[in-house]
Amino acid sequence: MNWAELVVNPTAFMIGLPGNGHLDGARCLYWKYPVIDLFLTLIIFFIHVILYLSNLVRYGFLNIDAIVMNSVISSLATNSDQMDFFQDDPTEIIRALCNITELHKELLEKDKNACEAAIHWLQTPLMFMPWQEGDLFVGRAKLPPLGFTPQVYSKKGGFGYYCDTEQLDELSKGVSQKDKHRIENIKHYWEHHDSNDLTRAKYPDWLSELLPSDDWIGQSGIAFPLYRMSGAQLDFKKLMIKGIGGLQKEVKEAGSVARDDSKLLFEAMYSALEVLSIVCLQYADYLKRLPVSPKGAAAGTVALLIGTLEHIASKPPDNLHQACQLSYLYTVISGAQNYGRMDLYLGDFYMNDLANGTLNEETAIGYLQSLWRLMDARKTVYDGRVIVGGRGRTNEAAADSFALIAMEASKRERSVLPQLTLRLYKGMNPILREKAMDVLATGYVYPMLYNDDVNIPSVQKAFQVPMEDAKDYVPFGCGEYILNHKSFGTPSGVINLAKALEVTLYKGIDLITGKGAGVRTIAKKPFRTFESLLAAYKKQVERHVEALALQEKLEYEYAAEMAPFLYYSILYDDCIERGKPIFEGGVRYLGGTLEAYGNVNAADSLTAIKQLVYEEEKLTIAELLQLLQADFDGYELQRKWLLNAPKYGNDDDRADAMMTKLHEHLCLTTQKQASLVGLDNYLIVVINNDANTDLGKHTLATADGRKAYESLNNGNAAYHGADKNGITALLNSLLKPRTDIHAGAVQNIKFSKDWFVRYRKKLNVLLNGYFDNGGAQAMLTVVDRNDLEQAMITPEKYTNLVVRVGGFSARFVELRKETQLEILARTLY
Amino acid sequence: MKGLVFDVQRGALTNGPGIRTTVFLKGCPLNCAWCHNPESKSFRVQIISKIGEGPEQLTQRLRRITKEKGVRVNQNYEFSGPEGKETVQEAFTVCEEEQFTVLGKWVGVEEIMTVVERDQKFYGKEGGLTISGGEPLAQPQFTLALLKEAKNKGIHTCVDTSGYCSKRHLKASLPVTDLYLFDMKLFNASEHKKYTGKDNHRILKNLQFLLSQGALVRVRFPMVPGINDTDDFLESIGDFYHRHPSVSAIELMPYENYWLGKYPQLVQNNGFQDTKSLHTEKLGTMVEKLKKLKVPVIN
Ligand code: SF4
Repeated sequence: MNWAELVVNPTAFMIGLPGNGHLDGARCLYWKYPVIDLFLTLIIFFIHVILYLSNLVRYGFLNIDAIVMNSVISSLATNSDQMDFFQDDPTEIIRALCNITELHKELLEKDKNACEAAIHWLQTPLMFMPWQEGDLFVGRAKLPPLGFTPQVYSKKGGFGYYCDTEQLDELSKGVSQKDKHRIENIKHYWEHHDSNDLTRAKYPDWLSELLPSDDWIGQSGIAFPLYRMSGAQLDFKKLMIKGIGGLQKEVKEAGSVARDDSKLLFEAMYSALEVLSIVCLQYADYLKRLPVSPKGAAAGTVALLIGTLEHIASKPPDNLHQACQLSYLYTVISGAQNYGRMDLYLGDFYMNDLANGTLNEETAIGYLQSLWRLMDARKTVYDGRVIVGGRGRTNEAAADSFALIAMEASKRERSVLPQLTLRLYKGMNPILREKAMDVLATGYVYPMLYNDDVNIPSVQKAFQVPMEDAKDYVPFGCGEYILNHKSFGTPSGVINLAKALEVTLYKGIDLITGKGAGVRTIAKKPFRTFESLLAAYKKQVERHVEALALQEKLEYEYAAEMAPFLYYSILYDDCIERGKPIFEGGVRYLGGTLEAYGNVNAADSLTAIKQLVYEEEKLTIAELLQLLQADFDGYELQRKWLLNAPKYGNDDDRADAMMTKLHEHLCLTTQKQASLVGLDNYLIVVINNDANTDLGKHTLATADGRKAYESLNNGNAAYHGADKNGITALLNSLLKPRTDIHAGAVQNIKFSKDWFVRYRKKLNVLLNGYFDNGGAQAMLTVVDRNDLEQAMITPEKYTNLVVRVGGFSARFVELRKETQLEILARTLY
Repeated sequence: MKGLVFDVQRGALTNGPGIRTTVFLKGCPLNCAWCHNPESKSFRVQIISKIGEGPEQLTQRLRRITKEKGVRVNQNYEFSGPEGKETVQEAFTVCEEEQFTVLGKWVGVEEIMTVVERDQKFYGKEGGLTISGGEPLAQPQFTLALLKEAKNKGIHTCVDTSGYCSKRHLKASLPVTDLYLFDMKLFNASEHKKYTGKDNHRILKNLQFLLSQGALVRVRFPMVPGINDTDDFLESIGDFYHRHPSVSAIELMPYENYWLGKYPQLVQNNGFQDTKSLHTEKLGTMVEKLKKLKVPVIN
């Protein structure tokens, strides 16, 4: 019997059946062919029996809990050593995929808890990859071609059950005709279970009209939905205290006293934890039977790993190595992309190990470097945050020591991930900040700095939560805040404000598509006053924000209908207490975020229009539209006027006031939607990844002088190179937009090396000035412009040059040319 | 009270301690061959064509645009407006400036102070306002008014002077100046005259005066290749320092030739076009040498 043959029952418990030892993929497609394999018949039969029984249980006729529980445990005990991990035979993989497909079809409608639990059983062996020599931890993984994950890491996105057709196509190369056919059938089935389509199916007409497309990279539009359940911050501290066994005990106990509908959830949770435990044991087993027995240091590593894995398979970790391994495996299997406040949950282990004399600093740094390499290999470049520092850590001294080795590991490893983040606050151990500056001085892009003294009160206000919860804010992804394992706030929409202004100016027509878009303006000669233009623009924005808020809510509704998101629900506050899955009333605060782009371009454009059209009357609106449409071709002088108009980032009140006002309008409009659509919060994030480049490609010339199709501004920073008034002027501008009405805004500031080396003391004073006066966040990068230029000419020599793009970092040479040029265009101080 | 200003640099690192806002005043009584700010020399607003016009063509064009006969740009690109319109801003209400660069703007004390106060949060304990030029004390009323305002607001003040100014104004600046950045070019009077147009007599006297008044003075030397980048000169700096031990520190300012690209029209053929910037390594050795001579260098 192998792993794929484990049978699933709808209460999510797996029972090994004495099968015939093979499951033919062709036969699994029985919904197409009437010939049903005996084995599958048994599965299906079994499912129906259990469903019947569980209904009896539900209605109080029978109590089978004990029976089910016992059968699961015994089946696992007998089968776990034979499970088919690390499989690379395509036929076997295809067979497993057929089984996943089959069970999904059978179970989804009947019981979503069982369905998700079952799929974890089947997909997990496909997900994890063997230990690699040199690694001090296991857990390298890839998403199988289909299965379940909260966030599909592609630009198309997706959440929950997914099917990656590209991977399937790849798999189908070189397999038999029969297998090819199976793959086609799998694809056909999953076409109808696309999370994006099914979310969209919930849209009312007006919403579909405002959000006509999902393809925000390829198509022109003002607003687009994003499909994912991203940004989970799990309670790793709890995992560390309880271990897998302790969590199992907790859900088992909760299940024994739970209402009947919650019982199924707890049973599914139990099962999911069992899968994690098996992963540990499978790895241990694999390491014991390595084809070539390791020598020297590798032998030591393997022995260490085997001990760790066997320990954490049931017990809570005792030391740093075990703690790192357990938290990492949990993160990977859960599909979470961020690693939370790591010093909070690993600091004590580190200190204890040091005190026991079982670990020294160098070895610990080595552990983290190895862990960092695993994170980097996940390539979750828009996420992968590790947070250290900040208020609210229980054992601050231990956490600080851990934070220092985390920074040292980053300094040595210089990988794109993790995105190391340091929270600062008044009264903190100054060595941490010094260390951060030392690491940045080497030209590396981390840590990013977050100021608790501004962010905690801001989060408290924006999220409207108690101070205690606000203290535990965590930036994830490209800079969205969330309350550590207490709130969820997946960014489920993008709005391009520059495009909103463009479409408004053309009275509701998107010139790129030639079609109507958003709110139309009916007046023949509109915008006689600046106020009327501003009002039309605001209306345009409001309408799209309303649409995106509803989209966020519908996406959660669909997620809740689809699955309990077991691994999230286990480690999110309140879910177990309430007996509810995270998106179905489990999480304490169900919120959302909306990514805003082109905010500075829109604000600067309106500043320029106000001045040149309405105050100085050097241009009429008609002329302005003409020259924007011509992309300034033949209007060089007028473009100069527009470029010379005040720009955000120069401490110029005209430009900054416009920016601040529009920022406030956008943020408050967004915040207001929460109660209207039934979320606990719904907030703007002014973050950036490379979406500014993608969205720019569908945005015509803007009145701030930006040429058509060029990238939009980056986060809360001034538009590329528009900040010409010195660093203090820039910082003053950055300090103006409110921080207490959104869920994060990022500012990239590039410094020359001199600031960090020769003028370090002055830099510290400068940053104090910024942070003490309301500066929420800063991503500082030391740049040598010459290096960047050289890297464009001879990329092979600069493969390790990591640069900051926006909310994320990347190897410079791997970026597309537009993004490289954008980075070069930003002002260097 | 207005002054003719050609630049306000915010977040400056090199014009005194800490982070500073440096106001550059236009006009200098010296005429150093290596001057890195060719736009700082003239005491008047200058206009430079962006499309390569000489003074005559520029005058023609300005007259066309403004329909004012009185407009003129002289050989030194100095602008004179029509009757009653002193400044370029007054002369041109519309944005025709795209085709030329205006050097110098009359700015009020208050306007500067608004900027300074906004930057105050970044000054820390050391930073503040620096008035540089040109020669700041060549616009004494404005400079003194600005210093006074800054001091009233509790802001640290620096005056970056060539030392070629009236002793009376220097004296007036004493109570409102926390630190003088005092530039010394050459010790030899005739060489000084050769390269700057004036001998150094007055400058040395003014330095003596400041020191005698107990002022905090940091003496800065431009290190210009081929002129004073020699061991001998470093030794004379050593001697100089030991003769004036009340000088708070010595700073070397390496010559940079980037000024060449700024406004070629304003650069006279002074034989400096080919001089290369001073090497960073060379500066390092110079600093080391001075340290050996027990000179407190702050580079
Ligand atoms: S003293 Fe300074 S501003 Fe004046 S000419 Fe010499 S170098 Fe230029």
